[in-house]
Amino acid sequence: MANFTVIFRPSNTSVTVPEQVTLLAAATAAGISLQTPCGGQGRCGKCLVEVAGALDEPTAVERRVLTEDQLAEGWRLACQARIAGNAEVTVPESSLLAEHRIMVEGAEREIEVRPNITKIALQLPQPSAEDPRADLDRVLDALSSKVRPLDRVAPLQSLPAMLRDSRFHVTAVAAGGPARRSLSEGGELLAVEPGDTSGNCYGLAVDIGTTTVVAYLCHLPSGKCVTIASDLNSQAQYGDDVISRIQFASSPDDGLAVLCRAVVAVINGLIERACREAGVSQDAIYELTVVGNTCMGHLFLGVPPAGLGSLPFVQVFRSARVVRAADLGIGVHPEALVYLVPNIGGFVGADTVGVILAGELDRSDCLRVAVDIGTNGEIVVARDGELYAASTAAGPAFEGARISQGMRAALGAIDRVQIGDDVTCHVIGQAEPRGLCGSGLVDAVAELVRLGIVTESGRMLPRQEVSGLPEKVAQRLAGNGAEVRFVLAWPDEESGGEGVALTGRDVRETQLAKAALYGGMELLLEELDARPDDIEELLLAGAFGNYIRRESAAGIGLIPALPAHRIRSIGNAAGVGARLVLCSTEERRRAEEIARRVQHVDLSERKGFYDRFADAMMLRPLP
Amino acid sequence: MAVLDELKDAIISGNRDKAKALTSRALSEGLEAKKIVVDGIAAAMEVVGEKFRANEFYVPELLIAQRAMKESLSLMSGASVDYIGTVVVGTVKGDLHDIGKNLVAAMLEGAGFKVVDLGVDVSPENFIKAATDNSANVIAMSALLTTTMGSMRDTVKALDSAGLRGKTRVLIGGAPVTQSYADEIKADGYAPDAASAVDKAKGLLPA
Repeated sequence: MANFTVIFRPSNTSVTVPEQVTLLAAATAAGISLQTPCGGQGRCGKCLVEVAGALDEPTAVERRVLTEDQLAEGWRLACQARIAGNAEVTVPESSLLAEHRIMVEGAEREIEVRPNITKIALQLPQPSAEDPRADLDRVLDALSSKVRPLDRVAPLQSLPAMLRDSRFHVTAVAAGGPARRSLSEGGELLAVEPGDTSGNCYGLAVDIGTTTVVAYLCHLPSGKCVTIASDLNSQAQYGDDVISRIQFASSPDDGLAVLCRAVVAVINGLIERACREAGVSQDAIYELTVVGNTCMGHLFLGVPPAGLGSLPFVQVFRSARVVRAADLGIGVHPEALVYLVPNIGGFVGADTVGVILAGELDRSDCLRVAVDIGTNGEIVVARDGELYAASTAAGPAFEGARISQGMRAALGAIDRVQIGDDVTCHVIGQAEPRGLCGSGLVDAVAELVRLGIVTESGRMLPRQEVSGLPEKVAQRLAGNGAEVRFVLAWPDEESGGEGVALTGRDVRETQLAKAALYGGMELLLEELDARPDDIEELLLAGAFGNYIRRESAAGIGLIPALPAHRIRSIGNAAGVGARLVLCSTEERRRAEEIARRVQHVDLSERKGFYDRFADAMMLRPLP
Repeated sequence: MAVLDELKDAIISGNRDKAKALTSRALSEGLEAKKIVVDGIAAAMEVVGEKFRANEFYVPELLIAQRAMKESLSLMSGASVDYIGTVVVGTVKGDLHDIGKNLVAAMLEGAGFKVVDLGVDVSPENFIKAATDNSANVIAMSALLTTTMGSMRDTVKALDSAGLRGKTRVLIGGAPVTQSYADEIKADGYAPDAASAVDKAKGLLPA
């Protein structure tokens, strides 16, 4: 089989690859990350590249997405085009997976710090004729008779030399007990370290999101978060939503192992970065607590998620899991543990438990609702200790996919839109606008509805059907029928920027996503015989919840039109939940209790969903 | 017929109460159910389909038109109507998405088909049984999860094994479904939306 050279511009990197390899694979080999929200199936058109050189003929899949003109000019889909000779590939910026702005702060609350991991400094009596106890017994006796001894061979192997070298002045590392000299029942001795290392005790709380992974490095005796690190979940290249990843995991080429390795690699990268920033050694970390939706949790443990791909959506595990970090290849202390917060049911997982814990929804006497406006659209309704949760699977529209110029909140994304005499857009990083992210999308739709350019039923009107618009605004409305679009940012001749426009189709996608979320919320509230305007407090969770403009969201009926003081953004509450569980065994017990108590509702089974969904499509304040 | 034109408009604009009242009036004026369906309902859904193709109407408008249509039809159940064909409709095994499928069923009904809606999570065996029991011309299957599409292939195979392929044609649709998948599994047709599903179904009827 022949090998060919592919040169990528503008980075000027080149790779040698065998023939028949896709341009996407060649790009990955060259260290170039292309956007692939559809997982390389040729459906989304985001991996567009311009090619000069020998490739296989365009596939039927490509011909569905690209026009004849585009093909004639050398545009191809990287995920479909295969190498047939040497080639030069130009990657436009819009096809690159860019650096990301993510929500990392979380709503805080106070707890009594009682971590699962404790380090206790000991000065042990030296062995003598009167006291010839075994080394291990000597250590255990100094702690408590109820502590289980080490069950791993490696620590035993290093024990005798360490004890003697440190003159029996050591630190015992134990799991499962309050921070006191003697450990309560159920404690386990994980390791023994020379000298007094009791202050050097760390844990990592991790939120594995479908799109973003966030890690919080915490000093355990104090409970303080010393640094936060975040990164894109690299599983995204195999599919931007859970269903496409479940599909990939079941594919014959070891998809599950690939996905598992990908997320572990991201976490290890975050560990390295966080430790470097904090000046902490990676083997000072003895525990990870992890939250994520059910699918993310399964993939993290390398457990097949196929059951979640179709009715009746069966998980492999629901309860909390404790596993050894070393078994997963995580770069912390070899004896470290990983605690996975329990799931609730169906797709609603540990991250939702985290949100409930962080927002204390389990102890809410008034009606409170928490919403995660992301791909999975989880909703929790709570009142007087009764809790219901559901996933609305709203789809990734709010995270950039399926919107013609949609992108995640990264450099160049329009994240705010206001229309007066003309359109004013704010762009992340003050860069040339190259796309629209969730908060910008919601603003844009809200403004267009307000001006009558988009009807409440979601139709973008052609220019001749709209009157009373300021001239500069009217000029931006172009096209007819299926081609109607509104230009938010004009193309820039000088910089070569292509400009950003919102199409009529984009408005339809937004309608579908928000109808699922709003309709789902109404249905879930019915479990408590309540309606949206009964909500005392609406909590917006997740990165998106913080940046969305509430007036715009309420204006298009994405969230109920409640007075401002009844809506609160709680940031990355799932991550806060993971931290609470890391720093307090009491909170850990509470999380397990919450997971048992919350009733998972399968919205699709509900008779009213169809009607609610239809009514919720209207782009206007609801109810 | 003035009352039927008004009924047509009421359905297009999704006015449930008006559709019901006008249907009632039409019946009391002695109009045959058959005529009401053709000149009132089918005519309305034809317009709805056109507007959908022209991107004027989308899912919300289709849904409200369908609800109005149902109100009208409910007053005529039991009356004899000349159906142009019979279609068995359902979402495949393992899948529970039905909004698209419901829209297709409504459009087919509005166009004059007898529709047997099997709901969701329908196994190949159940599709075939319903097709046989109802002498269906077409089996129309929907899937929204890529993980459940395989059931469409299984249904086509089962239909072949039962020797029913000449009599009953297969039409498929759903977000992840494509023409090339339809070709791959040797389905008789693929439609990307409810409006074109009606055209395809009509095209699959015996000449």
